[in-house]
Amino acid sequence: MSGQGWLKNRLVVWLGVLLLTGLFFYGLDHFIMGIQGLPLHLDLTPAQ
Amino acid sequence: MSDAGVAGRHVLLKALAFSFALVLVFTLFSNFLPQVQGEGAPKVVKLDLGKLTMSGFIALGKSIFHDKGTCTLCHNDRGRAPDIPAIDMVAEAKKQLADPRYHGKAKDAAGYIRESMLAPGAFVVAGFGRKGSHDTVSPMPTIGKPPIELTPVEIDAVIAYLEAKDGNPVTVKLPAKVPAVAPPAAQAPPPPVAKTAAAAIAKYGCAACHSLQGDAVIVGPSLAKVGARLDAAAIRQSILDHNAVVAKGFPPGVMPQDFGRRMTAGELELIVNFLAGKKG
Amino acid sequence: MVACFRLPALGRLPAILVALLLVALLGSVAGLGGGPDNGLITQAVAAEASTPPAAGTTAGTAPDAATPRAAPAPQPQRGDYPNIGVSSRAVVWLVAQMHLYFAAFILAVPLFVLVIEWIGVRSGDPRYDEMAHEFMRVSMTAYSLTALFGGTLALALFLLYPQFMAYMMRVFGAQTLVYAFLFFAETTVVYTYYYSWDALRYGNRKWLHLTLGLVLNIAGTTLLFIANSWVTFMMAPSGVSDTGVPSGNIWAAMHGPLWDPLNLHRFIANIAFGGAVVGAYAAYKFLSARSDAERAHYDWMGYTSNFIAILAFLPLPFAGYWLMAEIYAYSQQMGITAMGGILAWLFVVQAVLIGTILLAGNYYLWSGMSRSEGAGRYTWMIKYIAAVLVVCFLIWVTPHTLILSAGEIRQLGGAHHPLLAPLGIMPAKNIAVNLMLIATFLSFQLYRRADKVITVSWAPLGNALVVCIYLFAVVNVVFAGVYYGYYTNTVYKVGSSVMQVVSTLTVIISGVVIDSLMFRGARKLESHWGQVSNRSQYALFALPIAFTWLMALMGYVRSSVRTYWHVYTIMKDNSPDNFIPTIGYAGNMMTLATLLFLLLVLFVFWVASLGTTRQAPPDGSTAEEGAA
Repeated sequence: MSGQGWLKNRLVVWLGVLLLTGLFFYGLDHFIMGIQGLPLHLDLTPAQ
Repeated sequence: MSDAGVAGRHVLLKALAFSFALVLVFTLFSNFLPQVQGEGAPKVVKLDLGKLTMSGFIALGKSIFHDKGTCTLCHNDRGRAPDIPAIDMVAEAKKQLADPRYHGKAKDAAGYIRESMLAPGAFVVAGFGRKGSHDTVSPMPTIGKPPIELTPVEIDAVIAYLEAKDGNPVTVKLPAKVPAVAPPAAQAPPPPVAKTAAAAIAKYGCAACHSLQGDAVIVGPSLAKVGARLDAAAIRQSILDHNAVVAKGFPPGVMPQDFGRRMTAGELELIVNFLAGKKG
Repeated sequence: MVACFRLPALGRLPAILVALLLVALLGSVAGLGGGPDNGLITQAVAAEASTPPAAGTTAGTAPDAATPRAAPAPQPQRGDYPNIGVSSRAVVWLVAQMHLYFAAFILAVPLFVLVIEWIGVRSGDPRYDEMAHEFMRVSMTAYSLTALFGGTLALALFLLYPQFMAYMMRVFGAQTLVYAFLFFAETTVVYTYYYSWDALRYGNRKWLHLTLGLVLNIAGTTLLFIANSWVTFMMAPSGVSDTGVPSGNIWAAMHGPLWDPLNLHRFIANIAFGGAVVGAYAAYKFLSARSDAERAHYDWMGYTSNFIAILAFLPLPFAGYWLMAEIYAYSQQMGITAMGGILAWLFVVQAVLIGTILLAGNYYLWSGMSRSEGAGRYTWMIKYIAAVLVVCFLIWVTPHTLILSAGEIRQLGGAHHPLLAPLGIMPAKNIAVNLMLIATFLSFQLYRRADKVITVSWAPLGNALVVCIYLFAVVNVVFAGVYYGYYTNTVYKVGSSVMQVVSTLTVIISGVVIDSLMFRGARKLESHWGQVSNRSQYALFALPIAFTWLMALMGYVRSSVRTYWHVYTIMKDNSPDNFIPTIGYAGNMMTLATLLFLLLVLFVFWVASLGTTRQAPPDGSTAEEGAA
């Protein structure tokens, strides 16, 4: 693997993981508040 | 002792010293904090209904609100329950009664407040229901039951306080039933026995209706010269049994009938002798 | 020598059979309750209606043997309480606390001993088995001490609170006999389990031994759950009418709203406590070790104990939170008394204690990094973790209401500090606690990585995942605490704490899972057991001291939250001690209990080491000659 390609691969990996983890926690927030009867808007503000 | 034994002994002492020091830190910390002792079970206080005034009743309600009722535990400005100290409760009650969700039985502010205390589930103010119940289940305990157990009189007192605190008229009545255990000493002490004729006459208010100096008629005939008209026995009879012989021109049944019960024998003789001596 | 027949599968069968047997036993405990609502309740209610009100509400002198079962709870007056010249509450407090300490210890040790023994079977490494055996040996004396304190407690309770105990017997009935029977079961099994260790060492016999350990733990756990039901009944009664008439359904009386959270909390807390106590033993033996081998052995034992203690400790705040949430759900008043009313300062003291535990546990882990050469990669992070811990601890310890004089209030412009007051309420505390737990887990994770070089091909991905999970968990915890805590209403504020808990648990669970996958085939670096500072062992002394004092503190909260009730809303406490004492008095009682426990545990360990001490015969002669 060339040096350049390897670096690009690492950056992609990090960005991808960052995005996925962010989405996971975002979804988790909605889910946890939802099952308690406390729905949220898309921007995580209370819906009630 | 072997070296190992000595070493072991040193380690034990160091470990113990360290442990004691750490425990001392925790102990000192808890002794340094504000020391508050809880109160035991609330004592039963016998209300002196004979002496109770409305302002006293309202004050009682206020102390219950802050103390035995434990209301301020939730009803404060921290958002857990309606901030009663800051709200005009009569206006608020009227507002909630008009709420389309209200299906309780109360008709007025006092009734609404009483229902909130005795049946908190009847209506839940918007935003204060149990989490997830969409304001259908109330987190408030039933105030008439343990552990708070306010009596009906105490509940009335709280309602009186809640009405009065914002200047609204109080619609609850003072408790009417005199409790069987009201101590007699609570009633006003009887006035002292009069020792002179003048004191007796002042005590029983004769001068309110009978002039004692001139001939003026106030309500009854003047007594300035009564000793010339009536003898001691007749005067005595007029005081004790007024309606037996009523002076001409005066209506019967006006003079108080209860001097016989209220006067002591000594006071009666003082007055009779005094009046018998007033011959003009 | 008799050859045992080779039926490898049979070895596991006893475990399954015995487990089934004990499930049946548990079921029979439930069955005593008579199952769901049936005629018993209508009968009881009818009996209550026809029972003249005088029965059961008389100022009870001695509990009347003729009190019908379907009578309400007694309401003794002050003069009805026996008086032995000292505070009855203080006597029961001290004896109960000692019993709870020892009971927690003897329930915890078999739990982690069984796990370590099983790890020994799986790995084939005999050191695990030896360590498990040593943990058992060290704790054997504690069993009789537990029983002694339990008996004394029962006597004290019947002597000093006879009406209350008579009522509790009426409510729980035959369940108390099940409790007594389980003691026989536990004692029989624990002696067999311990003394058969070397006799049942390998093969099928080892499986039999493990089964005994399982039975021991099931008996112990059942004992815990039964005793818990009495305590939760006192706080949140169930299965009885408003006046305390028992419905006859014992299961209903047991399974109140607080039973499950208390069971979970005490089960986990016992493990943490037990681990901490044996850790102190290991620390003492390490410091007085005479050889490198001994030092290495006790260093490893100390590490294992700390591992158990901290691992069990991490989920404890959540179990405690669940218990508190159920208390609030049952009675908001009781909940607020605990955290917002007269007992609120206790939770500041709790912060001090948990801060001590976390700092000690983390310090021990950081010190332990010196055992391995690979630790140098991670030591730079320690100061940041320490900073996070200290700052969060300070936030946790900040009270909302300050101790101020009138002059100070004037200067401050109010009873609360303008800047620091917001740190005194729950949202700030929740942020602090969750961050402290995440930081502690990070110390853990770094320590576990310190002696390995990861060789899996997907390592960059795995590491990126771990880092991002930490990052977003921290962001989530802070966001949930600040936004929902200070800018929305109460209901969302309370709900956001679940968000924080789940974020922290995500870090812990994902960390464990990802690392165990990444460690496959990892290259192990040189790790020297015994190569750790003497100072680090003091962290292992601090842990059990703080745990012990904390246990007493939380027990005091649990008892006090009932205020002037023996059984909340049902049986009033009219004894001379029916008030919550000052926190200074309580602290002194807790210190007394802690020191007493410390001395007794030293006795337990001393007896254990006495058992392996052998006096040399005089002048080199044989033992027989010395005897007359």
